[in-house]
Amino acid sequence: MSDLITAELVDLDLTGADRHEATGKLAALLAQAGRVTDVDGFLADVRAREAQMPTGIEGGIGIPHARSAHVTAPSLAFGRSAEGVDFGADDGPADLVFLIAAPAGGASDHMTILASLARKLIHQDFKTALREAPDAAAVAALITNALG
Amino acid sequence: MPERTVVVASEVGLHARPAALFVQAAAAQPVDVTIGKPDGEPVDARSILSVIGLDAKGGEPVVLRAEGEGAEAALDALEAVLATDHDA
Repeated sequence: MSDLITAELVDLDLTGADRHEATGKLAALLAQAGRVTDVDGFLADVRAREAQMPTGIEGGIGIPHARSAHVTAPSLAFGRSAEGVDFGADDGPADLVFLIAAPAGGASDHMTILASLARKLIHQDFKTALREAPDAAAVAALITNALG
Repeated sequence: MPERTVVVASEVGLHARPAALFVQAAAAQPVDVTIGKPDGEPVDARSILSVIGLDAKGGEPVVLRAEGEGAEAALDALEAVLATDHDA
C-alpha cells in the first residue's frame, strides 16, 4: 500500500462550506494525479456511500469513501482544515479529512484501508502528528508509515 | 462475564451501514459492551473507529461481552443486529 498517498494528494489548507465541497476538492487532487477519471461520477458514488453511513466520526475526523468505476488505483487523499468542515459527527466539525478511493473491482480493498486507518485514528498521538505535520510530504509519510 | 459468539451476517462485514447500526445499538444499551475477534483484543462496541478497525468480514465470528444488570438482554439485542444481513 506504499503508494496510496503522496504529497500531491495532501491539502493542508482545505476549505469548504460543507462536506460536499471539501470532498470535491480532495477528489480533484485525485483526478489531477490521474487516479480518478471522472470527478462527478466518483463524487456521486461517494454520496451514495454517505447515504448509508455518516462519514463524520468522533474526534474531528471525516472519512468519505467509495469504491467506484471511476477510480484507477486504490488511493487516499488527505485534507487538513483549520476551520473544520461539518461531516455530520455529533461532536462537531472535522479538521482531518480522509477521502478513500478504490477501484470497482477492488473487492474489499477500501474496507481494508478504512480499517487500518480507523485503528490508527483511535490513537491521539497519530492525530496530533497529523495536525502538527509541517508540510504535505511529512503528512504523506506519516500516513504511509501508519498504514504500511 | 456473559459473552456471545456471533457470526457477522452482512456480506460487506462490520463496515459502513452494518457497523453504524451496530454502534448505535451498542450505545443504546444500559451496560458497557465490548466486541472483538475470537483471538483479538476486545474493543468498545460504542466506538465506530474501534468497530471499523476490527475489520470483521462477513461470515467471520466476533465475540460480544457485557457485564452487569441487563447484560444478557444487551447481548441478545446486539446479537440480533449482527445476525441480520443489512445489505439485503
